[in-house]
Amino acid sequence: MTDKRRSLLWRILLPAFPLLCGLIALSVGRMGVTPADIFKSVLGHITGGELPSGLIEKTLWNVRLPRIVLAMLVGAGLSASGCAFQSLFSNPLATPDTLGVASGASFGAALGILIGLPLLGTEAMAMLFGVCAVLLTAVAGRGRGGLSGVVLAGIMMGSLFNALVSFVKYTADTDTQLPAITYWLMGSLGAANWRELALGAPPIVCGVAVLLLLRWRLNLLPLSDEEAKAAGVNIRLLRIVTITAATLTTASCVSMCGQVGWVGLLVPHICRMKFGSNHLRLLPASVFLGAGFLVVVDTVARTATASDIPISILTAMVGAPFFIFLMRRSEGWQL
Amino acid sequence: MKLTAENASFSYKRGGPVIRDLNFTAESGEVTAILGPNGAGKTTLVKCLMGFLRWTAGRSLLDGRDVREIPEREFLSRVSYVPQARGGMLALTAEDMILLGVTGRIGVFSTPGEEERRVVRELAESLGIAGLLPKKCTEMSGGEAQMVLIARALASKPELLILDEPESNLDFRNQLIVLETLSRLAEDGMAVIFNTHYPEHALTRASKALLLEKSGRTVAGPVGEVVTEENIRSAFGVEAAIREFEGGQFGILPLRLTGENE
Repeated sequence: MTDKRRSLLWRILLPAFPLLCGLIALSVGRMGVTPADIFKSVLGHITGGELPSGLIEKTLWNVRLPRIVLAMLVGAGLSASGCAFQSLFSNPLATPDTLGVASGASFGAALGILIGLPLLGTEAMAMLFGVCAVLLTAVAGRGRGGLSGVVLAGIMMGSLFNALVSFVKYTADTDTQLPAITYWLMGSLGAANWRELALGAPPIVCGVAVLLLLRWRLNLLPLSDEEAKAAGVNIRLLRIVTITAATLTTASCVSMCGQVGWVGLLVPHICRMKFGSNHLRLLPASVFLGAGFLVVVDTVARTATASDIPISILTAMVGAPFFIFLMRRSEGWQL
Repeated sequence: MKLTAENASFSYKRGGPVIRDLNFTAESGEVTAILGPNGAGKTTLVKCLMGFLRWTAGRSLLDGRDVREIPEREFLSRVSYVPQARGGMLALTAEDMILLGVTGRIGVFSTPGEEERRVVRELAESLGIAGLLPKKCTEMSGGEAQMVLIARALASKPELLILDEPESNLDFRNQLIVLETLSRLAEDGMAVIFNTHYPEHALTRASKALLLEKSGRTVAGPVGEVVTEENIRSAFGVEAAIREFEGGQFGILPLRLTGENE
């Protein structure tokens, strides 16, 4: 009975966490917005009553909210993809970037900036090259090696695209393009707006939804081909669907806000330590915790100093020590 | 239920035949043991029987139907497989691990519900491992892990169970637990085929045996005719003594190399 009650409690707490973080994040920032203003604005929109001042309205709905929504989507997407890849490759160190998607996307974005594309064009390039990198990995890794062949091909493809990024940086104009590329690569959610979200959110939402629907079957991914087959599961198809969902999700995340490291590694492992390895509970927990986590980190990124701190710096600075702390406290690496 | 191999042969793309002209039948209520030295193709044979590898010649029949004509789903719902318990177990609990065995019977996007959990609980009770259900597989002993894998294979309610070296790497007590389980499953009407390194387990537990030799030659038949000092000498290259103990138990002791091997 207590078990059931505890599970019910988590079922309420976990979805509440990102919402609560989002609500707090709405009222935090250089522009002072009180919770009362938020309440007044929401009420005003529903009943058609009085609204807060125009500036507060604009800050709330066109600056902060899209940014918070983006943080939630990216946090949830990267966590879910990381979780799926760790199971797929039976490797606790697998990240959403294991197959080279983030490196490919970075190259796409750097190239987009180099040839002077507008923001949306740059993002489209990032998405395109992210998917391309994984396709190349899949083609290169096919054959005898099985999954470890694919992982090796992913590492090769990642370093190839990283070299290409360096090449683009080398040829870029040092006054304008190089800083833009460097800043983009470090990751920021500062460019969030509704138009961008309308394009970038659907792949993330679809990818995460597919992974969530398949969450029971993700448990089968670490089994050998024979074991999975004997359990009546088409493991090849399951692997392809998982890779596709995780790749589209990650590519879209990276294309909208650059490389955000650590989330895909940190969040699933925190959840593993608390909720165990069954993806039935692990994946939803990772999605919610990831969403909330990135909202918190991004809020710190935009409020800690006068200008935005690149988010990958913060995730690594928070992530690495926290991760080591957790690892030493618990039983260590486990899938 | 009857699984028959008819003139079945298998060879890998490069290299000679691993299995040549195999003929045997496994039936409900019977235990069939597969014996042979390392590298003779015991695991390969199991994979061929499961349909993971295709016979290069000949065929297997399930109740008289060519296995290649039976849809994979149907075949795998009647025949189940227990792999060798390897090191890399998952950190799932035994209950979740056994539940994985029912995955093939629930929808792609569904998750196992109360009904499936009840089946798993009953199954675990009948195998005497109900106490293991909340335990993580990574924290189990070899014997416990093997029983969980057997339970996982039984979760799909098969008519034929094929096991790959189920009692290797286990201590005496756990060997007996696994072997008793196999005997009981056969008594309850299941067909059981298992690979083993121990000829005495074949003699004691099985009614039929298959002896694979490195040359690809196979000897099949009633266990008493297959597991003889003569056949062991030719297949394993050792002189062995077979002794019967009370209660139909057998002991086999390898005495010395014959010098004919290799």
